[in-house]
Amino acid sequence: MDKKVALIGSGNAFFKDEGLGLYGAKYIKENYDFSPTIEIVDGGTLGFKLMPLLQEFDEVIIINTASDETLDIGTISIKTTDEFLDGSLIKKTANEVEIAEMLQICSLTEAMAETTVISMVPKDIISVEVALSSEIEALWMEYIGVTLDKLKSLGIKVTKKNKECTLQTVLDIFANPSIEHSRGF
Amino acid sequence: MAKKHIIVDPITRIEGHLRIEAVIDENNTIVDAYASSTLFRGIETILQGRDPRDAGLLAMRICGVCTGTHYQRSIESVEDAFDITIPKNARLVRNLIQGSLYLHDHLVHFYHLHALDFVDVVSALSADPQKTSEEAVKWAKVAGTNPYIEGAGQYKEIQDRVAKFVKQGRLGIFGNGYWGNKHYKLTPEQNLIGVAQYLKALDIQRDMAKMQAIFGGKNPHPQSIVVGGVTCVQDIQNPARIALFKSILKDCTKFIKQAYLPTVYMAGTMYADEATDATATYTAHTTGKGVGGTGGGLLNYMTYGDFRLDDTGFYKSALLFPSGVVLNGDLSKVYPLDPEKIKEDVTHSWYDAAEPQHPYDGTTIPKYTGLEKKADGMSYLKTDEKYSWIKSPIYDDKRMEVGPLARMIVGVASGHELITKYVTKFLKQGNLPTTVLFSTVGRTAARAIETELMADEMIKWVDELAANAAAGDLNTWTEFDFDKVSVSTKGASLAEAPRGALGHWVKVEDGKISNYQAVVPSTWNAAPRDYKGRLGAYEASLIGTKVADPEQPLEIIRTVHSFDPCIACAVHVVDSKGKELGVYKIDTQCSI
Repeated sequence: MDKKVALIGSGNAFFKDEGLGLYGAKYIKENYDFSPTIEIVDGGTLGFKLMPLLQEFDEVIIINTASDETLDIGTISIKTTDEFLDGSLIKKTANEVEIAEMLQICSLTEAMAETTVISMVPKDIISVEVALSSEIEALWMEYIGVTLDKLKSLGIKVTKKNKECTLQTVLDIFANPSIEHSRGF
Repeated sequence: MAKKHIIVDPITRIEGHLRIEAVIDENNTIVDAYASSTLFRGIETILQGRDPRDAGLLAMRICGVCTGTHYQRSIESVEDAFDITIPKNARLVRNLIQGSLYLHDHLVHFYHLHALDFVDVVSALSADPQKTSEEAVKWAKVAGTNPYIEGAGQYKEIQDRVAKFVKQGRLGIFGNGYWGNKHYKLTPEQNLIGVAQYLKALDIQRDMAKMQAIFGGKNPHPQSIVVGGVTCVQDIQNPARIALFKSILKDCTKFIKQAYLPTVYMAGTMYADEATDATATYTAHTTGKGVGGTGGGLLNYMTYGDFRLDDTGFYKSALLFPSGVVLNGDLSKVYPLDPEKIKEDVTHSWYDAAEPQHPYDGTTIPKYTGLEKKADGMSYLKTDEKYSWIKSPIYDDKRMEVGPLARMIVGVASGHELITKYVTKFLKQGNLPTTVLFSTVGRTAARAIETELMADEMIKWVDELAANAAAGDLNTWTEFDFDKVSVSTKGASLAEAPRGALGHWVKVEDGKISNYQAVVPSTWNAAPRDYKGRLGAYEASLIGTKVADPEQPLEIIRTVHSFDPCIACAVHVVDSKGKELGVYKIDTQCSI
């Protein structure tokens, strides 16, 4: 039986680099097809309301920021369940705290998804803007690539869609959500 | 003698961070307190110039905790501006989505964010499972029911599970507690009851989230509410969907009545000495005559009211939770709410404004003046000046507390039959005095009372929705002529989020939003002092609290948690001595 897999983009869409996980999930949703299919979720700033997803899926990948000032901007880290349960996830922004605490609490359930948190060290999480700083933008495809590699390692076939949706288009969708079409994700 | 200065600081940065500075005297009693926080305000600027029909999609990203509530309030402020009355089906569906959110929020708050302020996990490991089972029966009886988790076998199994977590080092969140602190007052058996329910509640909250998804859409963000009504007509006309909702609701209600309530009775009784200690209150500190108990605070309560019970429209229909204001804990009098009397002051907030402003005309101009580094190397709030990113809301020139306790207090003071019935039943069965409500325990109990009341009312709404659909009414949306209604108008949604009064104010000019302000519950509760130097709700609630061990600010955390601060704030405080946050410090040198 195929595993049920969810990719959750997490972060605040309006605080520049803090939205990178959210932008990443949308970018992947618009540019790639998956076989078997996966669930791509707008995790936004949700914390504890994501717990049911960890209880319903077999594999969950969360992509977000890790505001670790000891590391270079753009550093990508991959942490698995055992690693983050020791409290090693970075907890600085409100959302990082919520995700880390939610994962710890959720780990006490009988059945929790195998979870991987893929994070990137942001530069600017203070400006109120739907955008990425140039340093993060320069590493964008690397970040997407790491996430896709993780999906591939789960036996999922990843195919690029014919029509490209640029990062700028993704940012525009977050900046201009509309009931009429995309609803912002 | 030098007073001690306790700082519980979970790092300052933008959005939802909370820092408490408390000053304790030689008797380890808190004599002064300052709450400083940062909440997202930029959202309001982002909304300007937008199509008001899309405002909800932006507003829902204000905060992760109240996403669904912000989304709905934003849409309702636009409906108020456009003078739209939504159809009956839409009203009932919204009530059910919000009701599910209340249940989920209150349950997760009590068990996963707050219970460990009362329950000592380590102590639970030494409990006798047989005695635990008997103890559970005892407290369930107080609530007039049987225990949800019954039998020594189940408790033994849970105890073994927790012991295994400890052995594996998978204790995660439990690693942060002040276990063994003498202000933990439950017996090992009572602690095991708490831990057992903590684990079970993880399953129950998943079911509550499913309820929200039945009418709200699969995505964790709400999908089905739009200006004019709701879009989930297919779910309404499908009896199986409604039946599924009802079935899950019944299961959840069982847990609320047989686990949540009995445990609150247990905690209320075991902590009754604190909850009735009138000497440990803000009122004792300020007037010499204490009312209530530890954590009571301002004793001024305000509600906007919520959950419409008929289809006459905003501010006209009967409400499940009435609006109103109670002052000084005087339950004999309730003042009608006048939205014009709501203002925001920024004297002690990092914003610039000449005077308190009404939200319709509110501005958000940052003016950050920072902290002050003292000789000891620590940074302190400049409490005489600006010290928080939260504005100070005032109502009729008074400070207010909002939240479930305010809703229960205003309900009782209004003579609201249903609320009075639930509150009276709780106090009577628990053999607790009315004044127990004015305390940290009272705040926590009020949330439990409200959860039971909500679950019972939701069953009625589901039946009403099913009957309405069966009778052939499938109308879910009120048509409106956007070009006509959006020329020049303004509207407000004053309602209740699970954690308290939430208001969204919108002004629309030529089809676009010209001004937008949201005053969130945590703004009312976590605000700093105002232009007259009067304390905010958190600040006041901490005054008079007796701290067992200044090195373990358990009592501060317990009281702040009882308000159900935004989750980020809550967990930050819990984690305040964690290595990443690492700023918790006691400074015995500082004299204020």
